[in-house]
Amino acid sequence: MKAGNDAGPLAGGIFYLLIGPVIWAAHLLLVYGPQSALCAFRADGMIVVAPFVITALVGVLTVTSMATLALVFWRPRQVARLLRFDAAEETDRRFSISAMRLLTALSFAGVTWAGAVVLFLDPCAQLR
Amino acid sequence: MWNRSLQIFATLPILLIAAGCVDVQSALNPAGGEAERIHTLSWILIIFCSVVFLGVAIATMIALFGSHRWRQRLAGERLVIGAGLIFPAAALSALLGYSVMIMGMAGSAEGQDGLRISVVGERWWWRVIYTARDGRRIESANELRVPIDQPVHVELTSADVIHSFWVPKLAGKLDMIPGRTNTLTLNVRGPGISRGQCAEYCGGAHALMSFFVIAMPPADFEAWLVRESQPAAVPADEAEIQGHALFVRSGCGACHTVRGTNASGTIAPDLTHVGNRHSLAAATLPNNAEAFARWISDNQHIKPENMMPPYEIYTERELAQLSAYLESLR
Amino acid sequence: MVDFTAINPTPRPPGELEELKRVWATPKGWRIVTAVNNTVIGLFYIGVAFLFFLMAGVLALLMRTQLAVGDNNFIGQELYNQMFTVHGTTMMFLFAVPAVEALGVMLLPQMLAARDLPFPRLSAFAIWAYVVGGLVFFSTIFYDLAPAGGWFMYPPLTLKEYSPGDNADFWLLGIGFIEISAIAGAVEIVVGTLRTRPPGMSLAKMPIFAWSMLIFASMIMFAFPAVILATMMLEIERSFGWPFFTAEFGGDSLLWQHLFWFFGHPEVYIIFLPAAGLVSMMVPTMAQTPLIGYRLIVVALIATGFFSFGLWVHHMFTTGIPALSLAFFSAASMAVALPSSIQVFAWIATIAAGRERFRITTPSLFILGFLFIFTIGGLTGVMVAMVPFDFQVHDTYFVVAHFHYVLVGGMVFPLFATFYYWTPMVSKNMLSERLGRWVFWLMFLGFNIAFFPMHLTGLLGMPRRVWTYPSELGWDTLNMISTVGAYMLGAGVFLFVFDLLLRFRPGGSGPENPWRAGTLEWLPNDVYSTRSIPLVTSREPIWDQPDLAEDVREGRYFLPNAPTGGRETIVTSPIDARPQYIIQMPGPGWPPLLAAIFTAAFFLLLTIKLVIVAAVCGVIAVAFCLIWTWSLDVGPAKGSIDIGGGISLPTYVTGPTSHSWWAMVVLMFVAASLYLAYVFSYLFLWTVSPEVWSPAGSPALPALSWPAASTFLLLAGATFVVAAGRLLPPAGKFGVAVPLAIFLALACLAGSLAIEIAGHWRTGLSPSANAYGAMVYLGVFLFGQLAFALVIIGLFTIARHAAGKLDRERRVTFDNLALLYHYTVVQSLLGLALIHGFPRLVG
Repeated sequence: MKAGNDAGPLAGGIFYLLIGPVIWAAHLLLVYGPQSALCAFRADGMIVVAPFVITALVGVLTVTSMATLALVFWRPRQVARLLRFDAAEETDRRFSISAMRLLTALSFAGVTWAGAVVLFLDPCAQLR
Repeated sequence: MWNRSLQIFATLPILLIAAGCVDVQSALNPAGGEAERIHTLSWILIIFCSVVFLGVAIATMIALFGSHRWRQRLAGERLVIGAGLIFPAAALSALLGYSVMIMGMAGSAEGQDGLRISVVGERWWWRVIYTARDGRRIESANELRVPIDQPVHVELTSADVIHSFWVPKLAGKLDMIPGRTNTLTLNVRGPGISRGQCAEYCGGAHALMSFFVIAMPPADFEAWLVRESQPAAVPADEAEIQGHALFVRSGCGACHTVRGTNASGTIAPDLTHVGNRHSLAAATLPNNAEAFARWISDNQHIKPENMMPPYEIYTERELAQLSAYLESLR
Repeated sequence: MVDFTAINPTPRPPGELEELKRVWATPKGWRIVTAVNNTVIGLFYIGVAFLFFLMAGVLALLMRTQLAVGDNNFIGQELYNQMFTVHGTTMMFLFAVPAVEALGVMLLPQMLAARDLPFPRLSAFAIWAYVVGGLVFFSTIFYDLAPAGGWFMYPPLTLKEYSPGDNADFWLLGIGFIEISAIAGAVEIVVGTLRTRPPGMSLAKMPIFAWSMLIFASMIMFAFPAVILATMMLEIERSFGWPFFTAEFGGDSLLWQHLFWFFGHPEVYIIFLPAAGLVSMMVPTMAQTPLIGYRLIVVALIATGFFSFGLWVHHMFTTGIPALSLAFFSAASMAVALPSSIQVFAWIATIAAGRERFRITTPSLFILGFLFIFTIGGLTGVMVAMVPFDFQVHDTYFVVAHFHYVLVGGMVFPLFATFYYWTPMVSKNMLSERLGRWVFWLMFLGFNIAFFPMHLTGLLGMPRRVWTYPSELGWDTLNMISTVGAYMLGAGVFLFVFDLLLRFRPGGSGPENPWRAGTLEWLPNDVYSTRSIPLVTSREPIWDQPDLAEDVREGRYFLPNAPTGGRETIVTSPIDARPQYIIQMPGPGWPPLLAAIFTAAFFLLLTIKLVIVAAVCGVIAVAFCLIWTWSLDVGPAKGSIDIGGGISLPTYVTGPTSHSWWAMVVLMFVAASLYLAYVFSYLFLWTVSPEVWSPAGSPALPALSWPAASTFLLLAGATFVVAAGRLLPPAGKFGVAVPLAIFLALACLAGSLAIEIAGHWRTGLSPSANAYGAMVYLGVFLFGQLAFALVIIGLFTIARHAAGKLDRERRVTFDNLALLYHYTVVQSLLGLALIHGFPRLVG
C-alpha cells in the first residue's frame, strides 16, 4: 500500500459507473418535459403542434437513447478510456466494468418501457 | 311517464337493500365503463402478485430448510439474474403493456359526444350543474343523476381546495383542482345507485363529503331533468307555509337558493328540489323530516366545521315546520 | 500478498494507549451533551429517533381506536386530522430519515475503522437542532396547535385562507429542522464514506451498508432541495402573499405536488436503501458466507437511487395530466421494481449458500419478516404503478396498506434486526434472544393482522384520511381486525422497550463479535474506535485474516497512536483508498450545542411571529457557528506523521484533496439542485400561466443595461476573489491587499444584488401581483441568501487573516469562500439569463 491519489480522476470514475442511468434520466426528462409542455400549449392554444409530432419526438429520442446505451454496453473499455477511468487493481476494474454494464442494461429496460408506451396512447389526451 | 319515474324513486331504497348496500362504494362491484375495465386488471394483478409471492416464499423456505442439493441450486448469481431480473422484466413488460392498453381504450370506448354535467367540489359538498334542454343551468347538490348506457362527461372543478371525485363502482377517481377542469367519462351499465366520496383530503369534514350517483333509463332521466328544471313546489299545508315563512324570515335565502322564491344565495347547496334527494348533508344523513330538524339545530356535531352555523334558536314546533317545508321541496 | 505483520513493530511504546484514551475520552457527567464523538451522539440520535417512533406509534393506536367501529366519536374530527398529520410527519421526517441517518453516524466509522466522521461538530449540531425542533413540533399536538393539512401539506388547503393560525407554520418549522440535519448528515456521510475508509478498502471492497449510505446521502443532496424550495415558497405565500400556488393569480397547486413528490418519492428509498444495506450486512453473517451477488446489489442500490427520481408523478396519477405523461412514470415505476427484486433474490441465494444452515436468531427472524412483508409491499407497489389500477386505489386504504408494508416492512423490521444485531457493539449486555422471539412474533403477526385487511378495505371503497365512516358500508369488521392487529404490534414494541430498559447498558462493548461477522465494526474497539486502522484486502477482512483482531488490538496496523496530540484519522483517496493525509478533528465543545439551540429558537420564535427576539437568537446562533469554525483550519504546524508501514502523511492539506473542499462541493451540489428546482418552477408556472408573464401580463422587463451592470459587477467580484487568492502573503505576514480585495468582491456582490432588485422594482413589478412577479423576486431572494452567507464568510475570512490565521499555506477558509463565491457568480449569471432573457425570447 502506497500513499497517493487514485489511478484515475474521480469525476470520470463516477460518470463512468453512472453513464447508463444518466442516459435514462436524460431520456425521461427530454420526453416528459417537451411532451407535457407542448400539450399544455395545445390546451392554451398558444402553440399548436400536431399530435404525431410529439409521438415522433418521443420515438426518435427513445431510439437514440437505446442506441447509445447499446453502444456503451458493447464497448465498455473504449468508454472507460474516453472518460479516463482507471482503477488500481484488475479486480476493481472488472467490478466497475460489470457494474456499469448492468446499470446500462437496467437503464435500457427503463428507456424501452418509457418509449414503448407512446405506441399505445394519444400524446395529449387525458383518456378518462 | 311521471308515474314510472315516481315508481323508480319509490323502489330506490329497496334497490339499495337488495343490491346489498355494503357494495355501493366498492371497486370490486363495478357497474360500468372504466370501473369494469379496471376490475379485470385488478384481478389479473392480484393473481399475478399472489403467484409471485408464493414463488418467493417457496424459494425462501427451500433456502432455509431445503436439502443440501436443493439449497445448492439456489445458491448462486444464476437465481438472482434469472428470478430477480429476467423474469420480472418479462412479466412487467406484459403487465405494463396491458395496463397501457386499458388506458388507451378509454379514448375509443367513450366518445366526446353525450351529456355533460358539471360538478364543483366545495368544502364539504358537491355542487352539481346540469344543462337543461333549453340551455338553462340547473343547479343541484350532492347527488348526480345520469342516464344509463351512454357516455356522460362529468366536468370537475373546485371552488376552494383540491377535492377528488370518486365513485368506485363507476370509475377511478379524478381530482378537482382549482384553476383546472378535468373531465371524467361515466358510462353506467344499468339502473342503480352508487355511492361516491371525496378521495383527496380537503381538511375539516373531508370524511363526511360523499354523494350518490343514481343511474336511470334515458327516458326516465329526461323526465327527471324536466322536473328538476322547474321551480320549487309551492307550500301546500299549514306547516309548510309556516316553514316557508320561517325560512324567509331567518335569512336562509342569503346562502341557499330555492328557485321560484326570493331565496337566491349561491354559497350553499341549492334547495329547490332537496326533498327529492337521496340523502342530506353530502350523504351524511338520510333524507327525512327528522334529519332536517337535526341538521338545522345541530349540524356542527353531525358534520363538524361545516360552513353552516347551527340554528339553536328554534322551538321544536318551528323546527318541525321548517322540516316540513324543506321536505315538501320535491 | 501483503505482509500483514510488518506494518508496525510491536510491542508498542508504553503510554501510547493511555494517550489515545485521553484524547478520545467522552466528557463526564452532564458535560456529555458537549460530546461530538460518533458513538456517543450516534446512540443519542438513535434514541431520540426511536422516541419519536414510539410517540407517533401511540398516535397511530389512538387513531386505530377511533376507526375500530363505524360512526365512532372517540376522537373528534379536528384532533384526528391533526393526529394523522403529526403521525405521518413524525414517522417520515422525525423518525425514519433521522433513524437511518443515525445508524450511518453510529455504524459507518466503525465499519470503516475510522476514528470518527470527518465533521464531528457538524453532526452534533445537526442532531441537537433536530432534537429541540422535533420535540417542539411534536408537542403542538397537545396544545391544539398541530398542523392538520396532512404530511404532504397540499396547497391551497394549507394556504392562509384555508388554514389560518400557526398550525401549518409549525409543520414548516418541523420540516425545516429535518432539512438542516439531513443536509448536514449528507455532507458528513458522503465525505465520510468516500474519504475516511481504511487503506486498501477500494470502492469494490466497501461494505454494502457504506454503499447504501453513500447513495442515501447523494439522494438527499438532490431530493431535499426540492422540498426546501417548496416549503420556502409555501411559507412565503402564507406570510407575504406571493401567489406561487394560487390559480387565480397564475400560480398552480400542482407545482407543490411536483416539488413535494420529487422529494417525496426518493424519500421512500432514502429510508429503504440504508435498511436494505443493513440486511445485506446481517444476512451473510447469519449464513456465515459472503454475500451472493455483491456486485448485483451495488448495482441495484445505485439503480434504485437513480430510478426513484423518475417516479414522482406516480403520486399524481389522478390529477388529470395527459395519459402519456402518466405512462412514462408508470414505465419508470416498472424500472425501479427490478433492483428491488434483484436484492430480494440475492438475499435468498445467500441464505441458500450458507456453509451451515441459516441461523435462526432474533435478527434473522426480523430479516425473514422483512423479506415476507417487503415482498408483499413491493408487489402491491407494482399494482399501484399500473395507472388504471391506481385510479381506483389511490388515496384509499389499499395505499395505506401498501406503503406501510413497504416502510414498516422495508425499514422498521430491518431496524429492529439492527437493534438486536448491533447492540453488543455499544452495550455491555446483548438483548434477550428469548424475549426477542416474543417481540418478533407479536410485531410480525400484529403488523400483518393490522395491515393486510386494509388492502381489501381500500378496494371496498374506504378512502384514507377519514376520521370516521358510516357503519352501513361494510367496512366495520375489517377495521376492527386492523385495530386488534395494531394493538398486537404495539404490544410487541412495548415488550422490546421493556427488554431495552432491562438489558441495554451503553458505554463499553459486550461480547466480542458474538455473531461471528466478517466486517470491521466487530474488531475490538474502545472510545477511539479501533486501536490501529487495518489494511484491508477483502470484503470480509475478519473472515479472511484470522489474526486481524489481535493485530489491530496490538497496534500492528496504521496510526496506533495519537501523534498530533489531538483527535485524528486517516483520509484516503475516494476510489482506491490510498492514504492521503491525516485529518485533525475537533473534540467536545459547547458551540455546536448552543448554535443548535439558538437556531431552533430562531425558527420557533419566527413561527410564533416574535420577529425581534427571533432575530437576536439567529445572530447568537451564527455567532456560535463562527466561534466553532474559528478553531478549525489548523494549518500545517504539525508537519508530517509516520503512520506505520513506511508511510508518512501530511497533517494538513488544502485544495481539492482537502475534506473541507469536498464538503463545500457537496454543499454546492445542494445549492445547485435547489436552484434547478427553482428554474423548473419558473418554467412550469410559465407553461401553466403564460398570460401573466412579462411583457403581456406584467410590466416590461428593465432595460438590458440593468442586467448588464449586474453581470459586470459579478464578474468584477470574481476577479477580486481570484486576485485575493494570488495576493495571500506567506505565513506570519499581513497584507492589506487581501482584505481590500475581499471587501471589494463583497461590495460587488451587494451592488449586483441591489441593481437586480432596483431594476425590477422600478418597472412596478410586485411579488404579490401574480405568479410571474413572485417567481422573479424569488430568484432575487435565492441570490440574496447566498450573498448573505458570503458576506458573513467574507468578513470571517478577513478577520482570520488579520488574526494571522490565514496565509498562503493555511488557506482552507479562503478556499471555501472562493468556491462559494464562484458558485454564486455562476448561479446568478444563469439567473440573470433566465429572468431577463426568457421572457424576451418567448414574448
